[in-house]
Parts: sequence; structure tokens; C-alpha cells
Amino acid sequence: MFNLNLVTPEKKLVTDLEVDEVIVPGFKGQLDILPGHAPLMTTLGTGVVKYRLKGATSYETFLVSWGYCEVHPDGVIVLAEVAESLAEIDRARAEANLRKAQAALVDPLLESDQMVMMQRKVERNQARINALGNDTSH
Amino acid sequence: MANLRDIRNRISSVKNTQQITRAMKMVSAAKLRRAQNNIQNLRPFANHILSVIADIASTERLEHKLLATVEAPKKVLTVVLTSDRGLAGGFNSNINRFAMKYYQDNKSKYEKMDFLFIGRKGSDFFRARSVKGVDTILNLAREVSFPLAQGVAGRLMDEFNKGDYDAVYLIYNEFKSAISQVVTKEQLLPVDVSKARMAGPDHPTANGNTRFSPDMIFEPSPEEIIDDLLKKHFAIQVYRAMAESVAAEHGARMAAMENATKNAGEMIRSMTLTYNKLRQASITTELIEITSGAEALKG
Repeated sequence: MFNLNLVTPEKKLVTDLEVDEVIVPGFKGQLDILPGHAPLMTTLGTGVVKYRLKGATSYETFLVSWGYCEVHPDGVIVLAEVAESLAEIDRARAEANLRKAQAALVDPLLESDQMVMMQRKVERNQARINALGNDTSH
Repeated sequence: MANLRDIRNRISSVKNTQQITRAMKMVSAAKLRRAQNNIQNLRPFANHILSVIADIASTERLEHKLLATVEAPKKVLTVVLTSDRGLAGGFNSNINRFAMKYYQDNKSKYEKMDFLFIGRKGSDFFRARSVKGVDTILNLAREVSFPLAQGVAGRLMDEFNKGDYDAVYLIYNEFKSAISQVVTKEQLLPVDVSKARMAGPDHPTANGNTRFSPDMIFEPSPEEIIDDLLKKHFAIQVYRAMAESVAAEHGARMAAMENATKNAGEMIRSMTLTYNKLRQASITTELIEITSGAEALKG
């Protein structure tokens, strides 16, 4: 038994799904978690969470932005602040938001907390676009 | 007869009112369902975070500013959570009365006692009694979302971290069921981890079988993780309180409107009765007049 739970404050996306593999954007980089992984606790960056259902060969993909992941002997828990499935992402909107955020970052008068916000926005939209790009290529 | 027409007008006006209250009840019922879903959806997230914090805190002996318990807080910020709109029975007045009493009982105890109001009703009530809040946040009921709660939480956290306050409390209506709300005062900051142990039976840590293993790998260090988690936990607490308050508001409004509809029905019934009695009486009088006139002519 190796189960995946993916939860956000606003909805429960995945509940007790039996999986063979989970890939998460860990604090130190991409983490590929297979059953039998050592217990681990990490924060997640902005990026793509992928998982492969038991016996399946293709991956299901979610985009997450800030999160936290806990690996224990019988599963993985991913708590994400925001999670979107690929179907929910609007490429045109992501690109527009990315351009807007990048333009805002050039402003030298930006306050530091706004700067962080904009940087996160850039990251998030970049990740959205990347996720979509990967999806069409394979 | 003028009197008859008066009653007829009143009946139709009460009927209109009844239609409105019935519609409001329906709307509240629908919104209540959505708000209840919100609460249910955030529960797993909140429980996980809390249990992890409790686990880390118990094994790692962490010192964290947000966890440090203050024996006798001197500077206190109280967040009062009400709704923007009225017509919700005792929903807002219960909160306001409670908060006012709390204010009067404690204002001599603390050096500094500030209020932050979420919702128009609370801020109006206190402004009328010349208690000024540090700020007012409105338009909550329209959309309770996690980002909104996070904004509020971030602000509270900043002020706490700056040392402006030793403790942050929250007064809100806890959602018990669709018909019952309980005014509750909770400590938001510093975070009280001991509560995690007392959480409900569905809680992973409740029966002691935590999945926490001593050789857990942390990325980054436990200190950084817990810092992050505490912030999220705090934000989710604020979000939960908001979601509960909104659900409670709709519940209260639903009950109030249900009562109003029933009362209107009762009024319509009794007025219709009076109306019919009057109508019959006037018919009888007319008949008597006619027959006695006829008798008089015969005689």
C-alpha cells in the first residue's frame, strides 16, 4: 500500500489513491518518490507534481504553488496552497500574467514584499506554461 | 367599508414580506451548503498541518517565537469577526455584546487593547460606542477564499512579529450546526500546540499512533519547516474562522427568515379571520337593514 493524498485548503484533490510513483518539486530539487522511500519531510516550491497510478504507465500532472510534502512508509501527503490540474490552466492568461509580472519587476520603486509577490507570480506562471509545454510534447 | 379595505391592504403587504423572507431563506440555505463544503474541505489540510507541527514540536524541542507561551500578555489585539449584513437574528448582536463585555472587563488589565474588525456590523457597533479599531475589513461574505484569509493572517503576523502585541485573540461565531452558533473566543497567536492533542477522534495524533519516525529526513531544517508550517497553520486558522463565521451567518439568517416567514403566515391567518368576520358582520347588518325596511313597509 502506497497512497497519495493531495490536499489544498479549498478542495481535496486526491484521496488515498494507490500509486507507484510520485514526483514533487522539493526544496532541493525534483524528488522522485517510490514506495519504500525513507521518511521525509520537505517544503515544496512552485512546480509540477506528477504521479503514476498503480500499474499505469502514464503520469497525471498537477501544478502546485507552495506546499509541503511528507513521505511516510505507507504513502505521501502533499499539502499545497494552490493546486491546479492541467485542464484548469489557461495558457493565454498565464502568458499575459507572466508578461505583466515581469514588466512590474523592472520597476525600481518596487517595495520588497511586492517584489517577492511578483517573483512568485513569475515563477507560478512560468511553471504553468512549462507544464503545458511538456504536456503537448509527449 | 374603509376598514375592510385597510385589512385587505395589510394582508397583501404581509404577503409580500413573507415572499421576501421566504426567498431570503432559500438563498441562505443554498449559501449555507456552499459554506459548509468550504469548512469540510479545509479540515484535512488544517488537521495535517496541526498534527505535523505537534509532532515536530514534541520531538525536536523547538523554540519558536510563535510557539512561546506568554504568561500575562500586556498588549493584546482582538479580532472581532461579524458579518456585513444584518437580518441574521442574533448573529451579530451576540458577538457585539460578548466583545463589548470582554472589552469592559479587561480594559484595565492590559496596557494596550486594540480591536480589528472584520465585517461592517461589528465596526459600526463599536464606532457608535467610540471604541476605535485599528482597521476594518469588509466584504467578507461575498467570497471567502484562502488568499484573502492569508492576507489578513499576514497582517496580524507582521504586527505580532514587530512586537506590537503579545497575543492575538479572535472572537467569532463558531458553526455548530445550521441552527446553532456559539460565540467563541480563541487565541490565535502565539500558536497553542497543545490543542492538536485534543483534536477530534479522526485526528491522526489523537490515539497516539503518529506516523512520525525519529529518523525523518528534513529538507530544509526542521526549524525552517516549522517556521513555514506555523505561518500556514496560522493562515488556515484565520481561514477556518472566516469560513465558520460565514456558515454560521447563513445558518442564523436561515433560521431568522424561517421564523419570519412563519410569523408572517400566522399574521396573515389571523388577519384573514378578522377580515372574514368583518365581512360577514357587514353583510348581516345589511341584510337586517333590508329586511327590517321591508317589514316596516309591510306594516
